[in-house]
Amino acid sequence: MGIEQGKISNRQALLLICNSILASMILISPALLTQEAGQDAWISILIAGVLGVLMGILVISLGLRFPQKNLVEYSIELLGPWLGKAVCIIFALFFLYLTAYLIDSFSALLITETKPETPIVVLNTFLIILVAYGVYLGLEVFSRVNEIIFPIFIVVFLFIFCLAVPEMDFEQLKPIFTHPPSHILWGSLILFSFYAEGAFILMLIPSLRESSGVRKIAGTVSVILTVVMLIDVVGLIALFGSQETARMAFPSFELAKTVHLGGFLERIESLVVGIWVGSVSLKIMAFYYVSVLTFAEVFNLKDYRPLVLPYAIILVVLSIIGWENTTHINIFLSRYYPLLAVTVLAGLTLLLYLVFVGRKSGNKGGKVK
Amino acid sequence: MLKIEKGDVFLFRPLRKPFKPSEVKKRRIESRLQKVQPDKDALKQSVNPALDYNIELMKKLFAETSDFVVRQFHFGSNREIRVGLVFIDGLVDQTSISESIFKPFMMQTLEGDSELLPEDPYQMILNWLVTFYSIKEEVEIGKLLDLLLAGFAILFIDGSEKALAIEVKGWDARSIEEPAAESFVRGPREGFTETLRTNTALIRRRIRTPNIRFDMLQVGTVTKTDICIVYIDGLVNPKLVTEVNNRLQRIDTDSILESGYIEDFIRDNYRTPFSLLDRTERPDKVAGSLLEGRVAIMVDTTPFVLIAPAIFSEFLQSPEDYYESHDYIRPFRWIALLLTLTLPSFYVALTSFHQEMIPTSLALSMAVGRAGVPFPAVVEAFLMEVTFDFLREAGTRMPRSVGQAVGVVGALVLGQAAVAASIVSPLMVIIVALTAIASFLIPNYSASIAIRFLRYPMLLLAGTFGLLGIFWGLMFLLLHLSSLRSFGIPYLYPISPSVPGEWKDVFYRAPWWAMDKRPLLFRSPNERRQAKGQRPEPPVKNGGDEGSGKQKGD
Amino acid sequence: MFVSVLFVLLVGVGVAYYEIPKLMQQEQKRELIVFACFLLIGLALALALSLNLPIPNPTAAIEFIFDPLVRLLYPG
Repeated sequence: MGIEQGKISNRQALLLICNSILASMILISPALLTQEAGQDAWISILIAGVLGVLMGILVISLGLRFPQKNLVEYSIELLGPWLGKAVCIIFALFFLYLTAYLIDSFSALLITETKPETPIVVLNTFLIILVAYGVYLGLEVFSRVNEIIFPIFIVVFLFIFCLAVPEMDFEQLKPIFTHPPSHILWGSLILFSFYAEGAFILMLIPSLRESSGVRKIAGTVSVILTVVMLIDVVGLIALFGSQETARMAFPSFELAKTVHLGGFLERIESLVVGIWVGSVSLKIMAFYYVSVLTFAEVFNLKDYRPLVLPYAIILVVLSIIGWENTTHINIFLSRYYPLLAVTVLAGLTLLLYLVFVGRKSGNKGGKVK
Repeated sequence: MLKIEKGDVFLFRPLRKPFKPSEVKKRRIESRLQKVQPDKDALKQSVNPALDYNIELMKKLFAETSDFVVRQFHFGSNREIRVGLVFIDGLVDQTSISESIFKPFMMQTLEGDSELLPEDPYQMILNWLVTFYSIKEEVEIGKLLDLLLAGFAILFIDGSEKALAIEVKGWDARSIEEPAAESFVRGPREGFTETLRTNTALIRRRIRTPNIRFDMLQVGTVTKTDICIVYIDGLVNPKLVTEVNNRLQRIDTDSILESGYIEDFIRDNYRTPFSLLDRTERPDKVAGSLLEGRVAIMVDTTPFVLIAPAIFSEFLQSPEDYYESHDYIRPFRWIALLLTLTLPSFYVALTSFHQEMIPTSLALSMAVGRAGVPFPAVVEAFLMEVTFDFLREAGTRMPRSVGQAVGVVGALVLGQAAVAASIVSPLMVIIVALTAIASFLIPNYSASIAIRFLRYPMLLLAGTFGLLGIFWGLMFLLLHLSSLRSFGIPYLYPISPSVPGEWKDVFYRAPWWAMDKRPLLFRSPNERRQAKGQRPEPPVKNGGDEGSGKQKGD
Repeated sequence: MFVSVLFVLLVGVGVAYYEIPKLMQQEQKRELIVFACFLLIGLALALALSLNLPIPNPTAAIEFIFDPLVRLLYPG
């Protein structure tokens, strides 16, 4: 095994994957989904849940073929040094890009919702300092923090949701099946692109304490995420109606705005931002870490830490130049990003798995490494 | 529950090896030692048969300092045996000296019992004359010197190549008192003292097992401070003891005057305001920690005992929690912790960035209160917090009688007058007072200092970024805390890595019969504390007073 | 603009000052080279940003690559 990274337990891994998928999905995807599938969005979620399980099984069965090795090591073994490294660099660059986009969407949320006077460069840098600190401390540390933050995130989400229930009108979910199947499928593709981000765990499988228990994770993650998304999207449609949800930038956040408690607790969305700072920064940390680690492995370094700070500078720039405005983000996310994520993540995993299976059947009877 | 695997690489992780000095530096270090230590050759030699030589050597080593006492006398029927007694005045017990050394010698001499006149005066003195229970025989001058400085009286005998060291230690010491820094309502009122032996006895009295170990070592090239590693064999993980020992051996300094010196040398990470070792003056707390499978480090000349490893949640526990049942104070302490850290910064963030979050009526009264205040909220908060810290520090360092005056000045002059002069708003004063009181709820002094210090960066963040800054700061703090380890034990254990089974001693204190296991992460080889199922309940059948009485007899 | 250029350079020097001595001490040549490359890329990008120079945008590249596929598959 390459770089020493510390060890995480299976539960920490489970929560880390959940958080890494959910943190942005819960805020961004409802609007995209309802744009495509309207009040039928829940069907998309179910389909995406099934796809997510399949993706999870694929990722985990690839990872478990080489429980002591990470992605870089076995892709070199399977594809040869040049092609293997090239594939891994694509993987790392994808996560670099994803990290930049997450930071951008984070400050986009802050700017649209709280309208701070601070310029976007400062906001992004501010967040990146936190994230780089976490990455510098290592996988073990931020997955332990995630163990605290993610449950709080879920509890706060459910709490706010329960407060909003009285104002919901579930008639808005009708009529069902009015949208063409192609739109519903595209909706599930959008959601699937978030699920596919879970493939970052490919780099972390050697850091798991008991890699044997990982099989259960794929199913559990999909079930948790599907349930949370179902609650979220159904609730949003019932509260705002599908058309209005589609027009909002961050519908789940708008939901928090409608909440009142006993006449004195109002406008608690700033608290929601607070929880989201934690949750999304942990998500960014995980991807940042995976990206830096992949680069370090590709270049055969002893430690990933020297790359963390230069990476932070690159991230600041990338997160600023990415998109002109929110409409652009919206179009990009609903059309281009799903294809990108599916091609890079699912495609890469599938490629490696197929090569592995091909090799294995190729030298049947001979020894299998 | 979390299963902990055997191959945890970081557990009881050693510190980095100390920097190896080059040859030049080594020589420099040696010359540094030479200045404060007597000539090596003089120390290496053994006791000379000639009494005068020994006495002169001792005198030369001590260079006529005033508390160094030499008493030479002759005895035997013809006064033919010459002996010399040296001791340090103040370190020995004067009654013991006169009763068990001078008296027998002088009396025997006067009686002139010729039978007692032996061929070997040394054996006679050892076996017949010195009437004291603890005697050591030594030949090396250097060792004798160490004993002398530890409070032994050294008896040189003319013509003998050995000397006797008589343990007549005795100095004025503070008696066992209630510790002032850790006060409480219920619990034993004994505190440690400055004498190591008294302290070990206080532990012994509580844990009557032969398995309790007091391993001694000396640290400090000049002070030669006795340090005692305390643990219970069989309950503690041997690797932890080895690691503690290694870390103590690693120290190379001239002086240890308090356990704080040791703490700085052996902590896992120095770039943190949090203390990575717990310290206490209370024997009951030390005993409790030993029973959890931890190690205590006692230092002579200080009542503060270190406990390793420490975890963060323990800084919100007071020993009293374990005596008073159904205590609801634990959750309050967690809230107090958060308040100390964030209350002033929340005030700043809300007033200057998020006015919409404040309920309207409160916002109005706040606006009225702040109407004449010339500063922005951050400056106002900073002013008041700094003032509070000044007052607190002044109050602690001053003699008690003056301390009260400080309180009056703080409350009346700075509080009331500042509001009247509209330098600060009344709400700010309330916030600062609340923060101050909350900070006093944290039982551990050093943890409370760390938290109080951290509210300044939080204020700064709140003043520049509002709520976002506060959450950023909390997140940063959480990352920092998670990265800390005390002797390889994650500092935030059992919150993260989370072991919900052990939260019963974190967020509340479960009854004793429910806490039947030692904390998992100290890796005690003997995990279970007590038998299961000891919940006291009335019998299930035939409830009622009469029935239960009868059932006992059955 | 001048201030931001200065700031970028300061950050670059700071990062180098923080990492390079450690790497030199451990004699990690490869780490040093990779670190320097990443830092130079980062600084070049940051300088270009603060001087308002055009920076190749990965989003545009992705949109260009996937455009035909989107036209083919996107139902809307």
